[in-house]
Amino acid sequence: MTAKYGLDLGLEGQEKRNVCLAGEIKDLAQDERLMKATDQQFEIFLGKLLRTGVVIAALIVLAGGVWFLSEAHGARREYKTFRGVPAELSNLHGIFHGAVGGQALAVIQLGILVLIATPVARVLFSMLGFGLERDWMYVGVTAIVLVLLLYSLFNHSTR
Amino acid sequence: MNTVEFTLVVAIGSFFAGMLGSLTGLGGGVVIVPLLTLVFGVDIRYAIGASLVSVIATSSGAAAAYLREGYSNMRVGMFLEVATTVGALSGAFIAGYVSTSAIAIIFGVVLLYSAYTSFGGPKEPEKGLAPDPVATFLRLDGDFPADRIGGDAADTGGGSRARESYHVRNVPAGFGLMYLAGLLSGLLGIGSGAVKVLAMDQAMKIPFKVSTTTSNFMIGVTAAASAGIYLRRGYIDPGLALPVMLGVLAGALTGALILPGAKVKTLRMVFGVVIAALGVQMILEGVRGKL
Repeated sequence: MTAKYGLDLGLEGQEKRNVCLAGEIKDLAQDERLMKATDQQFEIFLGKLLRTGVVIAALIVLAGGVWFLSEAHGARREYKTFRGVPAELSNLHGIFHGAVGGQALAVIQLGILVLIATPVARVLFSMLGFGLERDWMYVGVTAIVLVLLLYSLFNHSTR
Repeated sequence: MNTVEFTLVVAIGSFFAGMLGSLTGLGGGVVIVPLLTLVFGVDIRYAIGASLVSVIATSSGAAAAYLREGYSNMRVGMFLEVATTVGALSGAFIAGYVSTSAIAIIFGVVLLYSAYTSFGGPKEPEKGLAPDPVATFLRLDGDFPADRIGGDAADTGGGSRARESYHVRNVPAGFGLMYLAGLLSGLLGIGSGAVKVLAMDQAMKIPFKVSTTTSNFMIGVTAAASAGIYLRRGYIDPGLALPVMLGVLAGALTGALILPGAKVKTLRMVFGVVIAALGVQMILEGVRGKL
């Protein structure tokens, strides 16, 4: 009787442990699924960010382009020999000034700047995303990429 | 041709380049530079600037669709972006010192290689490989939505499907090849999809769908790294970037829309022949010193 009782208890304990273990495994799986889900939600957010950037850039370029073409009289710009784009259309300061001052070509360049900034924004948000996951190794990796991009955009000695 | 006519003609050419590029998966950038230089007589430096802008636009525009499917691997992408951005900066830097003839010849060789890959078609890497210690340390291994038997068209996304896991291999070799891909991208103003596939599929053994979507995701960042330098050097001309960027973007969107009904294999063959012919032409013109 007692032996049977003991066996019963043992079984119960084992079962309990099993249930407990299963529960933990289930919790872990749920955690992983949750992380996968947030990962994927974040990826969808990044995708939307990129698309929004491209749409805004394309609209600015289109607006500047229509304006540029409506004013385009006389001789066509010549691309056969390379002279380089004038300085006021090839640095950030000049482009902003020109666009505010109502120059059609500067407005197109502003749209291109928005386009170039779009992947940079994606890298910045990826870094925040890795930070939220407390993945410091990848916060570091992403920071390296970000620094390289900003160096390319803002270092005026690289010509 | 006056300005309006020139803009329209270049926009139409760019539209077809973007459409073919997205239908074949080879990217529009690879034909924009030969189109502008060989057909429209544009200096190769202006052509590279305009092509770079269109590469950023198509990569970022397509990413939204790819990311939703849950194939891409963010850690692989970000880790390899260190190599491609350093490569892109070096490429843009040396482009200032290399003659345009040399750039044309290198471009021609890359075109011939792209044509070759479009005929062979990438081989799916072998499955069930052992984990690699470097990849494990960098947490590069991942999984992706497995193919569904019967192929349900109305899929809500990768999250609800069974996922197939994979191990990433040969990280140093892949990293080195990615530096080369970035270098070519920075030097030639292209996305270097063919070299990226070589690095991720063949060296790192990443499944085809994962490598394609992850590489598309990376192309925009790589191109943005050299675009800053090209903008300051005066390579990015607004009058030329206008029809190229908008034309390629519209073409790529159209390509994505008609893709389900397209005969991709035939298209890849046709595009391969076109690219090979352009490659030979670029090399010839480069040797003659005409570009």
